[in-house]
Amino acid sequence: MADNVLTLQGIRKAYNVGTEVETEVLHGIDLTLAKGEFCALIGPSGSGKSTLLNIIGLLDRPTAGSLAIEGHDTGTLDDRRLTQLRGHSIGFVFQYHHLISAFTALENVMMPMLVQRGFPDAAMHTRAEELLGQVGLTRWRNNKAMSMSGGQQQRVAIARALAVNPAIVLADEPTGNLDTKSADTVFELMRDVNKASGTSFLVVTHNMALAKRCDRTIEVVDGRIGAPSS
Amino acid sequence: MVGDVSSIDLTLKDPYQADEVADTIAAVHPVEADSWIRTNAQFFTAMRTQTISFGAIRTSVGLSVALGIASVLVVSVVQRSREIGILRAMGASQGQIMRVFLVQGGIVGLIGSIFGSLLARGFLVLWQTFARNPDGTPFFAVEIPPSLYVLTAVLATICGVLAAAVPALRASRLDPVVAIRG
Repeated sequence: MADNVLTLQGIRKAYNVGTEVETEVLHGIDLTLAKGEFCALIGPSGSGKSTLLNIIGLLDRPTAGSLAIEGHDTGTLDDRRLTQLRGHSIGFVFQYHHLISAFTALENVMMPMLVQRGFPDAAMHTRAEELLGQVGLTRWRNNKAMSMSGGQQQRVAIARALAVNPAIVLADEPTGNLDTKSADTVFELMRDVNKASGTSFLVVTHNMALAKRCDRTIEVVDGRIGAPSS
Repeated sequence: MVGDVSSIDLTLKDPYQADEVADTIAAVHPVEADSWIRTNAQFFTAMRTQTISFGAIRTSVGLSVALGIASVLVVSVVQRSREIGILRAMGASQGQIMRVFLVQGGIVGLIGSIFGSLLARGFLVLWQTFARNPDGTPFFAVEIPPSLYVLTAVLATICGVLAAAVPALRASRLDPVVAIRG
């Protein structure tokens, strides 16, 4: 389907392939994510959610199956092209935000654009300012990452994930390290960005209340997709 | 023998041709001809030994500095592995990660050479100020030509970049998934 930003067919992932201790953790995952969709990925610990997210984020390769991002079949791409596609099409939000501590909020948001273009320019600065405005952190733009609260840092991480206007944002338990109020703020922010920009979100969460507020919930159990719910 | 010539000293434009000239004189005339190089053989051996020692010390210091820079950068790679993973997730290529650490190695080398040169200059000024003959003249005049500072900076920068090669390669080959997980 042309409107799918993400298509997985028969994705399998095994470790220690060809050895006596070969272990398959994903057993043929079929999954699509439509443009603008906001989807929760749930499942117990050890079910394969993180492995799946790493494969979708092109940080890891599947053992078998096909993965297409914005229509690009990633199976035929070498590491260099995969890195380029990851840089252009995918944004990441991690549980522990992983901002670069030596940089300010503004510099952290500029970082993905700097990686893409290789040198800073005024447009990059303006875009970073806009994004920090969007996440309500204009006043804190020159604060070092470590001098901000957990919720603020996660909002910076969301702004950073959106910097190159990616087709998909992959969020790995983005509210897992936050108090209830901050978690709600961060979730609402991602929802607002999703509605405003049409960026697709795939959010790994253990918080069922937040999962129920997504367009769709996908459950991963023992390396397989469980029954979908809307 | 009173009134006879017992010895003649010659001064050569090129003092290092003394051996050759002495041999020629001894072959042509029935006299004993010695060069200052032969009569001061021990001094020359001592000078050669000193030169070799200086070379060995310089090489050892250079290697120590290179290993020092390399170890600092290896620690830096370990400490920053999560940040390296994040940059890789953002689309940074292996080449870009390598360049970060090679440039860092070069900067460490350059800054080290600047501090080292300033320190050397300071010690030289102190030496020339306090180590003097009774008449106020310096024991011996030492001058560092400006080109030596430039050469030192260039060599130290190259040394820093080379020392950073292994840590940079290690950083570029980090698996982003493992690096992010820490």
